[in-house]
Amino acid sequence: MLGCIWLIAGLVLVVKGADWLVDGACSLARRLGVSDLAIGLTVVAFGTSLPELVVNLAAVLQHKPELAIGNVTGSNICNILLILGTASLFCPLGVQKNTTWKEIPFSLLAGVLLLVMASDRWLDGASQNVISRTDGFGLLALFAIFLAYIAGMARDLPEVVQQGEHAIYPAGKSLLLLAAGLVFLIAGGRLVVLGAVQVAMALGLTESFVAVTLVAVGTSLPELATSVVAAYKKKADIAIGNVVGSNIFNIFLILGTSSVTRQIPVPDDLRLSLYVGVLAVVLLLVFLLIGRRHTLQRWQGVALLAVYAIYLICQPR
Amino acid sequence: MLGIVIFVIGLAFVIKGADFLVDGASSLARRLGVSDLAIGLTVVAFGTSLPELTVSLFAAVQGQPAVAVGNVTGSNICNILLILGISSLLCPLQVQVSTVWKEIPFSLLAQVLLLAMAADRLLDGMDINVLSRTDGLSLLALFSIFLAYIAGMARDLPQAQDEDHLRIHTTGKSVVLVMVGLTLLIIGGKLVVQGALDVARWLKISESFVAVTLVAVGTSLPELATSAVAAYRKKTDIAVGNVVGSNIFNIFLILGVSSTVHPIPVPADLVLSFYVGILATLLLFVTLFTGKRHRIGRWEGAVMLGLYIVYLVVQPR
Repeated sequence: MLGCIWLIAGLVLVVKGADWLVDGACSLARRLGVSDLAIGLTVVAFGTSLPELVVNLAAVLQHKPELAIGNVTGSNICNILLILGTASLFCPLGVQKNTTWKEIPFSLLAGVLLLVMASDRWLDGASQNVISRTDGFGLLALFAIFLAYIAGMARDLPEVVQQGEHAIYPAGKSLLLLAAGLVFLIAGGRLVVLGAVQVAMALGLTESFVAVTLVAVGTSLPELATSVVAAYKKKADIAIGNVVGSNIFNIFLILGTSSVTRQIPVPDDLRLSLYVGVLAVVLLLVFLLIGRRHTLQRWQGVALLAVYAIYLICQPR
Repeated sequence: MLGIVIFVIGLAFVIKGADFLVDGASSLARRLGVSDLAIGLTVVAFGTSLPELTVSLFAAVQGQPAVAVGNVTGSNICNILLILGISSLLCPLQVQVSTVWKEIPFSLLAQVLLLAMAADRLLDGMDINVLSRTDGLSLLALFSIFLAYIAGMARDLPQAQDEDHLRIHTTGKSVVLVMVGLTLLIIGGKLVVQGALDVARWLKISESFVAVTLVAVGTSLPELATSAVAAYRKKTDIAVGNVVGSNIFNIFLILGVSSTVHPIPVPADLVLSFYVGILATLLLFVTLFTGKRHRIGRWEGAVMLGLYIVYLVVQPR
């Protein structure tokens, strides 16, 4: 029970801390004369990803590879199968051409590459599967390319990046927000890891299972919120773009940074989630190309949810 | 002495074989109804790179990592410092904006990533530095992105890739060309590697030194020819783009394929060439902003040549 409280408290701290940190940093940056484009990009890039990043770093530093990898693979699976599946039940989701032909293939590349990097035993005859530091640099290189792609898009359509106006605070308040946000993030990250481990113990589940479900969904809350708001405003095309972008960030930025910090062994009971991650993207791409083109229809949403249910049953607990 | 003869014959075989293979394959593809764009891309992608690919692949499989890696790093250094150095001495080179802001940064990314992947000892605490299969597949992932970028450019400017008018041969002749081309490539690849080793033994210099000089320059001859023709036709902006593109191909395609087929240990005496590769790319970028913008002037060419000589003196033999 206590574990659950730690987990929730940690999630609140992490999400709130990310908000404050971004708020404070943006207002400082604006005072220092940084361009709006650069600020917008940073907010998009790191704002919604900070909770996941902090939890992953805390997990890596505390030698909990199950949590680090499971958080990312679980988030990616949940983003497509659960979130998009549910959203398309309410209203069929349209999608922009760019998303179908550029971002989804890019996230497919990310999923396949992650599977490759986690197959050292099979591919290189190594003694264990590990996302090494050099793998991490490879992931960050791909992240740099994705960021350049977003920057190019943002220059063409400035409204892509400018979600939410950022207030400009006095320098003192900005610094305070920054410091408080950082403290929250660090404390929250540790609490989430601690809580997840305790929940696993209390329920007699593996840490991997808790990671791909509870932790993954929990740290995805900010993305979930963005997607819900988009769907509510009938900007359904943004919803799929957000989800796919978040999946790309999870692999390239979050796992990249985590494994550069310290190499991450890949637990065997998470291999299934690597495959399901690839399968989910392939399904999404196929669904957008069959039936009504560039639209995720109701029956397709039902199929996504069904696959998610099957995955939860098959994932070793 | 025999070594140099074997080497030259091998080189001739490899270059001619690549020609035949591309000729036959593209004429077959056209008969089968493959689109011109796809054919053009494949010719650009594999045509000028086949000689290097064959040599590095053979070297990797035969357990000659010095030749496999040195061929690529040496080519990249020679491409910038020697070829662009000499060309800009003869006539200052103008550079396109997309080359400055997209392709050169991309090739810098390639060089830095290669250094990271070859630094397993430092980064991951391993026993040896090795370009593993997972490294190779990451490189190929980046290659696929570069190919998508070229495809996008080719769609916008159709004349960019149709540099030579491909003839359509009869099916029989096409098949013969493909077979002969393949045979020449395979025999030539073996001869080049064999010849390079013989030359190294004969001159009592290291295999690495022969690889970064003789082999690298030899297999770059097709690119050299393309650049020379471009410069001769006063299309100097193509020259720099060609060279940078070739460097990107060398790392992502050639080393990607080679290390995926057979993991390549990185010889310690080639580490210098990794750093010089990065330095040369940085220098190229900087020269575009010193003196006249987006232009490599005469004295900047002289600096490049000077640096090449210094590199040759310093590279362990």
